Amino acid sequence: MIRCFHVTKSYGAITALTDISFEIDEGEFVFLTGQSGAGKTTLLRLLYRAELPTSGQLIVAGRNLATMPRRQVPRFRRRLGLVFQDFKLIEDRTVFDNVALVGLAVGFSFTESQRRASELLRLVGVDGRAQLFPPQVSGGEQQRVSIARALMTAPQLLLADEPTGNLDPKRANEIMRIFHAINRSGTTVLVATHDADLIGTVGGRTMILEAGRLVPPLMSQ
Amino acid sequence: MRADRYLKLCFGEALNGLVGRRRAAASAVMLIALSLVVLGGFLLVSQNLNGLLHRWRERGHVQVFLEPGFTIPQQQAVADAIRESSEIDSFRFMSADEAATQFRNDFQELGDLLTFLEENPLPASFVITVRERSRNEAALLALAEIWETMPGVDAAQYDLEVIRRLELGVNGLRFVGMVLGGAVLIAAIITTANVIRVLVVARRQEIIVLRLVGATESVVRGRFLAEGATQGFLGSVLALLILYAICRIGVSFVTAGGSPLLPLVELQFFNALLFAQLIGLGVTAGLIGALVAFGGADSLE
Ligand SMILES: Nc1ncnc2c1ncn2[C@@H]1O[C@H](COP(=O)(O)OP(=O)(O)O)[C@@H](O)[C@H]1O
Ligand SMILES: [Mg+2]
Repeated sequence: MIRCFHVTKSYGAITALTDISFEIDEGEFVFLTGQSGAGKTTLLRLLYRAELPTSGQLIVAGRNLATMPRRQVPRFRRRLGLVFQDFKLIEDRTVFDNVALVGLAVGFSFTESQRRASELLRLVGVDGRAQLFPPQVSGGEQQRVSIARALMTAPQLLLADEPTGNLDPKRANEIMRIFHAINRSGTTVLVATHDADLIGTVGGRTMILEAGRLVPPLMSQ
Repeated sequence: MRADRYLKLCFGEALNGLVGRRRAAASAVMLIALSLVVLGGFLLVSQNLNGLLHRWRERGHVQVFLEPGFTIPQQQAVADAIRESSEIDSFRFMSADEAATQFRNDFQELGDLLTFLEENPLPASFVITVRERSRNEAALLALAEIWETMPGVDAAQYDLEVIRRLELGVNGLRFVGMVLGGAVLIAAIITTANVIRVLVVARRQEIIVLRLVGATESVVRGRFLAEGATQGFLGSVLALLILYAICRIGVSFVTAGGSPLLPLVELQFFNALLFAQLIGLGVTAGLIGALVAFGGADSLE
């Protein structure tokens, strides 16, 4: 699902990632961990092609990101589901519309978008909140909405950057269980978190970043 | 994405945006309308004048004015010369008194003016209608030159001269209209761009999200372009309504005066091409405004 060969990412004089190589197979559940500033967010941004590596090769969901033309980015992104610490919900649209809008935006019919949205909201357990606006529901619920939104395009790969960073431990665990269920249905999941307590709650492999370098697997066990 | 879904999505969002921020949108619509009224107004007037000129030109009149102290033999000689020309369809003599009478008819409001003048300044003349085939600049000029050199003749004037001068005027008018309308149109585009820029800023988060979930740029920009186009469309429709009202008021004003100028202002308002041009211009202005407005959001993510 992901193949990363000797990827380096620099911002001018700052090198955020140095010579990163790893592979993640289809159906895996992987934690990407490391202290704040280790480069987790940067790596995820490379994976969803918000940025290009300074050097190295990156193949995600069958696409070589370094050579992929810009206009193919939207179609590529539909193979991914993205979840963020700050949820990135549209505040003046209802919970329901936040999810349904994705369907409309990628070309589903109105009816299909509505149906998918209500199914997914039920799946993540916030169907009772569908007509409220994001600021009117709790953080845990907002994150569930953003997960429902990420699932609208039935992604092959789910990337989550600190998805529980704004949640208390109980809510965090609920979110992780949802990710676990999504993973068991066949979707590859990569969760970046600096929260060591989260790791191991649902199993899966762990990759550790340290100051922009990947700690070799043997040492991280 | 299917075109119907795309348009429905874009225009649905655009209409929501317009209704949600009526006041800002109204200012853009109004300014677009104003610029199109100026532009369309000048175009309408010049177009009508052109039609008028065209009709005049078809008449092919040459008027040979006699000197104030012309003699009867001179008048006779000119009449003979005119009659002998093979280019003549018909002609008639108009005495100074007839000229004065016609003036009084044409300008009833000024009727007394002539009596205040010591002598009638309007000269006697021959009013000549030229044959169809000679109703062109070169032929009329040649005829006018022949008659002009005859003794007792003051000047020979043909319509084209007047028309030429009027044409210059009409072209000048059109130019002024283009410049003025163009200037206001630029202001309208800037206003539209500002209105939509505010919207783009307000929808910042949505733009980011749409890009993240894999919406194409045409979808991300679509609603803003649709809003610009809608503003332009509303502006041009408003402009057409205003122009129509101005025409009606203008015509009824002239009609009420009972002026003989009435046939001149037989305004042809309905003109499909001009309508299409104005609406096209309005929509284009709105789209340009939206494109300009979106510039800053190109790299949002
Ligand atoms: N756009 C950027 N410009 C400059 N430096 C950046 C940029 N993005 C990230 N960095 C740097 O890269 C390093 C890794 O950051 P980040 O990937 O956000 O870490 P993490 O997500 O693990 O906390 C940090 O030193 C950060 O300052
Ligand atoms: Mg981070």
